[in-house]
Amino acid sequence: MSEAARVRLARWAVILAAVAALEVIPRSGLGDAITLIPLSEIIPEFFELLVEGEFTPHLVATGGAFVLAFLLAAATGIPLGFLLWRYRLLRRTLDPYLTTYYAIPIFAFYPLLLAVLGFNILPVVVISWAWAVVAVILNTAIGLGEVPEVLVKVGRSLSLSRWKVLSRIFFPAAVPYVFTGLKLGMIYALIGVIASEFVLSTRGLGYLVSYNYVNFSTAAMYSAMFLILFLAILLNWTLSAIERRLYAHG
Amino acid sequence: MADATASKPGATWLRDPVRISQLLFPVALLILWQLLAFALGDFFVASPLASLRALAEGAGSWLGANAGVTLFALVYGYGLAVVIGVVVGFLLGLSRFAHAVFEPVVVALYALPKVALYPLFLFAFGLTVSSQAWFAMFFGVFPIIIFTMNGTRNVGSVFLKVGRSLRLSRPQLFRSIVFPAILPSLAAGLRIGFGVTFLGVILSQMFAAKSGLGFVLVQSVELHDMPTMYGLVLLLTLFAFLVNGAFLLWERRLTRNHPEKSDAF
Repeated sequence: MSEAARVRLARWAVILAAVAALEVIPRSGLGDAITLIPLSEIIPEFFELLVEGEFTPHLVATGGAFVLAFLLAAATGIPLGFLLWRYRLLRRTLDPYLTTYYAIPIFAFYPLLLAVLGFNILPVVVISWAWAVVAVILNTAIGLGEVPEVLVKVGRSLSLSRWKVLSRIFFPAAVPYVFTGLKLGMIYALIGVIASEFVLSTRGLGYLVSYNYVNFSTAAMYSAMFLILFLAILLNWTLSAIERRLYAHG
Repeated sequence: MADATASKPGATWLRDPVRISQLLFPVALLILWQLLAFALGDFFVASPLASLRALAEGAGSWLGANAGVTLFALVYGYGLAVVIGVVVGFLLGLSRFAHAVFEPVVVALYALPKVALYPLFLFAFGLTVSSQAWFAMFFGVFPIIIFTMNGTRNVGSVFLKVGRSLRLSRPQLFRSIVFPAILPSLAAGLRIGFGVTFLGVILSQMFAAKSGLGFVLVQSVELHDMPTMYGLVLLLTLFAFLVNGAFLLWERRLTRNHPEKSDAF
């Protein structure tokens, strides 16, 4: 067996062992039978809630806030990243602040946004946008900065106009980096939406977990957790697959 | 890179336009905040002065005890994250096979919205500081594992050969070759891990707690106490910024000695 195949096999074994633990540990009697429910009892509950449409309004709320926050992050992050790359003083000024940005517990601003914007979808979208946009900005600026000098020289030797150099050389060459930024932005936007819904809101999948926790509906709570994790894993997996292709061609 | 001027005397770097605009940036934010307070009124935006006053008043009453709870949960959680993260990361980094198997798994776990799993910690530890600390550990441990693992993997085999040819004992090899080689990468992991751990503490206190700054923050929404809310956000932001800045300075000192190992953020 090749090294790569052995690695894949071992990885699947680890993942399966983790899933098996979700079944075995609750049944072992090590913990509390009310709070620890075996996987085989959660899955039917999950499908029941899914078929009954219990998830639907929350799925729509989370999905809507996520798409909105991500689109806003992309629409503002790419131009801002471009400005950051274009203006050296701006980049060097903001550099220490941008590197510190993700150390700041941005969700501390969420109550503030709730107080200002009210209990609706807006604070969720704004906080998720704020969490996602900086990743897009940074990766766009890095990507444009990493364009090889050779390509720029080719452009000059062909005496392309400024706009053509940008549109034919800089932007295409920066695509993989910008995509990495958008990928991170998407992941952060999802984390932002789930986190703010979970902490304080009135709808969404994150809210569904906290609602069921507060009401002791443990099986329903686990079902909502599984839905969130399933969607997040699906998203990460799809984005990583696309990213691998982009870098392979780039 | 921006530090080329840092070694010169103070008078010179004050003339550096980058330094000046870096210093002006927080001033601009402060002015913006004040303008927003004027424009929207104190029902929505507490002025900087009112926020500071709320903090100063709180210093004699609620602030000390709640900041203490937050700080305790942070130290507790970060301590757990560092110990678990460094040990697991180092062990996984020692074997090429283990590294190849676990790296994508750890990276995937890092990117999941783990916040919705907080009830599991509440089931395990109840409404205590322990559940906040373990939850925060669960946030912070992944970057520490990833950076330690990659740092360990990247210890140059040339270094190890030099060490062996010098007939260093295992502890000597670790102290004088392996550890210094891992340190720059580890430092980046410790910095990022700290930020995420802090976020975990605040989130858990916002969700379900009876004390702590995250709890006061959410309470101030219910009471519509804007000065306290803005003051707390300012306090938490400044604290995160300063600690991260200290980590960055440490990292920069380390990477200056190992110029080939500069980790991006």
